[in-house]
Amino acid sequence: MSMDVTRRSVATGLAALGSAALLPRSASADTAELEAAARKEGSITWYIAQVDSETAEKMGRAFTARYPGVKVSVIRTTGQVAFERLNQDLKNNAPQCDVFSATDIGHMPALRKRNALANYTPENAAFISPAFKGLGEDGYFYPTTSTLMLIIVNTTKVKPEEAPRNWTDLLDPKWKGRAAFGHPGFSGYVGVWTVQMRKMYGWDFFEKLARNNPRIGRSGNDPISLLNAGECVVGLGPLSTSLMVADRGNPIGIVYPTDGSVLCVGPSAVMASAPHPNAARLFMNWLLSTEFAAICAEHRIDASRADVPPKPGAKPLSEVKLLSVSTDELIKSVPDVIEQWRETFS
Amino acid sequence: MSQSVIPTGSPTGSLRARAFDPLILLWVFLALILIFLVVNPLFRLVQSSLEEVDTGLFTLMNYVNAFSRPRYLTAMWNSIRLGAMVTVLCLIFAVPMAWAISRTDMPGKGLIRLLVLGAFITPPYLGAIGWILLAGPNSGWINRVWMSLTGLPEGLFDIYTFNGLAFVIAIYSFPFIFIFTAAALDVVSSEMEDAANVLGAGTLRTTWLITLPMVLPAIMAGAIVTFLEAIALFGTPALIAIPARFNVVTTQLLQFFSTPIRAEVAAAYAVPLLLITVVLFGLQRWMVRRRGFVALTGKGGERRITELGPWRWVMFGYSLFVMSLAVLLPYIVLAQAALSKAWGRGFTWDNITLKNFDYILFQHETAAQSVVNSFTYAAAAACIAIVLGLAIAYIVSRKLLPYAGFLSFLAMAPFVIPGIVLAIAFYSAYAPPPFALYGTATILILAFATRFLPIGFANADAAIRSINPEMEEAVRILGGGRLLAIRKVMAPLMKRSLIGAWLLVFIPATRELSSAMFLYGPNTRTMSVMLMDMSEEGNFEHLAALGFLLLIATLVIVGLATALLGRDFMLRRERQ
Repeated sequence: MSMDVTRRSVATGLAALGSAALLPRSASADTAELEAAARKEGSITWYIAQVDSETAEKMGRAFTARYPGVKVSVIRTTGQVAFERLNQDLKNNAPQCDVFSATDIGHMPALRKRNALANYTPENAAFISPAFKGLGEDGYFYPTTSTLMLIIVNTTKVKPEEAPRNWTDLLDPKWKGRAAFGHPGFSGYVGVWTVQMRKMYGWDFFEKLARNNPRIGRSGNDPISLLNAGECVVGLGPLSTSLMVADRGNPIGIVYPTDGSVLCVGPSAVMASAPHPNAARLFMNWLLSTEFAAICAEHRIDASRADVPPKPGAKPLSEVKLLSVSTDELIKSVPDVIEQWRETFS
Repeated sequence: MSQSVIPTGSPTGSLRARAFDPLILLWVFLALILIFLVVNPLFRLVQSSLEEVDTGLFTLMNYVNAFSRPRYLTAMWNSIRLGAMVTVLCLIFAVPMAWAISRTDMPGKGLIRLLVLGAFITPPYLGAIGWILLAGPNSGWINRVWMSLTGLPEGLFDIYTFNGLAFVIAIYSFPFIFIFTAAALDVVSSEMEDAANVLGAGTLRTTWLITLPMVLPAIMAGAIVTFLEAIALFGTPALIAIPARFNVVTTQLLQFFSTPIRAEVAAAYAVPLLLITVVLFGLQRWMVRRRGFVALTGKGGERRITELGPWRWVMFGYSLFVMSLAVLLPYIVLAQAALSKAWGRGFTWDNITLKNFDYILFQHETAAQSVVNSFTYAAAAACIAIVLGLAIAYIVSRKLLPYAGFLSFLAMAPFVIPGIVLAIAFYSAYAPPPFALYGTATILILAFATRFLPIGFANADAAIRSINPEMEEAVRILGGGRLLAIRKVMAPLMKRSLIGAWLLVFIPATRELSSAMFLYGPNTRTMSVMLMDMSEEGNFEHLAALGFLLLIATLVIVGLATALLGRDFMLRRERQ
């Protein structure tokens, strides 16, 4: 977990990539100019909700190591707090944030509507994996990190052959009172999953689930803790945290459902009112670089480019059956499913 | 009892002062600070509750939206019920213990005081995690032991219930009432108890009819703080109420901040909480007025210990029982996580490690700094809150300014504003220019000081009320100024309760989460923010290790303070 390990693995990751790693180096004149201007500005402020603060700090330092002279001030909070802070900044006409990395896809179109996002097409946007197409808005915001919502199990209490294989297996009465879920009203990623489930199986899926008396936490990560404690034995969890917790030796296993894993993306954007506009653009471009992707892989997060392989234990996205919901559909459906959820589960 | 010929409240002493008392400027200055810290943010809160978001036009729709749904009203009602239940539980936990420690010969007082301190230091959400592990219906340790002993398929407790939530909040809130009550009992002299004894009343009857009523103002102040704390708490309800599928005010507020964000509706939803504060205040006034008297007089009344005989062991057993619920059991569970490579694997020899402590102390990039930040900010905030609280309480009790009662309401109001709402008001008022406090330590310190001002004020108020003004008047009659009276008479008399009050602000400020989350900047992250981060990641190994370090660090600080100040408050073992 120390800095050294990360640096080393970043270096290995880059070496393994061969020519791909050279791409951002073959910087055009534009990028060189941007770099010089960024150095003059000296810092950027990054509002980020997508990763924990230790990882975010690490990312910030890696950026400064890559572009000496540009410091990153990390403001890491939950998605809603970050967004409300941003709103207050805008309302008071006191901009602080240069780059905003959200967990809730709905935040970006809302900012876009108020002309709060800068028009900028990062060079590295060309390398975004096809799986993420349609999940950003070209020229304004781009997916930078992602994770999959999939089935998790407590490996000491559930034998591999008994584990659920697809989403509907979670409705089996044998999991009565022992299945754990997050709440779409609190977690953007659980919201995406709920919309996807409704699309595939209708709201009936949740009516049946409710009859099984599941344990419902708040964040998308709560089920992991409930499984780890043995309170529940199966549930819905994000790939990234589940594997992080499992990496420490905890009895958490993941199952890629045969009917598909739900892709949840965290978008990033440069703010129109960014106090450090050039450094912000340089940083935004870096969020789409292989170097950034390698740090993500180290922390079990999927970056939005496909050219950095994940650590053992996770499949590359290209080998996973992915389910993804378009931004427009999410904006339309998430408030609905939250209401429906509250009706069904309370 | 009074031998002074000047009756209380006589104008004789103040005529001269009215003519040219430069102190009035000081009072006005303090009142202005209060306006800066409390009125302006609250004004913004009320203002945004009355505006349309985009246009800023006047509207009442936010209130309609906030109160038109039965679900929202249920959440409000749940919070009030919760506050009441927590307060009752805390009274049951705290008052007998405070009495036993202050007035009886119960054994093990030092241990119990130390454990009360432990309960107070524990961040409520950390304790709640401990209790989820103890009383989770399927896997809780207590339930598993019960099931294996009885062979029954169902556990004994389910923490995911309304009662479970009230219980978990209560075991980490009762120190408020305990400390308020014990501090007051410590200074009540035995004269009146003796009188009751002489007239034939037994120990129980004397305690019930004489001793407790004398410290009623302190108990009331503690109960109000407890009630307000219970309804404004966020972490514990998030961990327990949501899985138990009911809402309280704070979890409902969080929903207003999820997409689509409706901060203005949240503001409207939070405003009625102010009314609750007003009602509680009126209630306290009314109860105290009915039994108005002053317990602490200038005469050095003797304070004697009540001998309980065999009952002292019963009291000790009761205290130890409460403290095992609050401290011993949860920390045993947390120790397992802190010492595990992987807490989900349970107790096995090959799973034990000290690496989590090593990581937090020496490898984590920001942990050490955030601990230092938390303690510094909390200490600064505690000083501000105490000085301000004391000044306001003094103004109010001596009626130095017109409408002083309103000041006391303002001093109590911040407590009931949920941290996140207060933080947003603070952020919008003071982060941008002209104040430009964005990302500074100052904005956090001011917010903490404001948030816990009610504790400072309630304590100072109780302390001042218990002191007979005649002592201060004696100084003034003899020609001393008000400041001299405060310095030489009031301050020494109140020293103990003020140090207690300082700790009462310092400790919750070190664990304050909801406002820190919104106000911190790149270099001002606090420990609570980091604990929250870790719990979000399911990183209980590091979370528990940090929790232990926090416990140890606070105990060291309190221990040092005790040693420096002559061990005469929380950890005092036996009276001289």
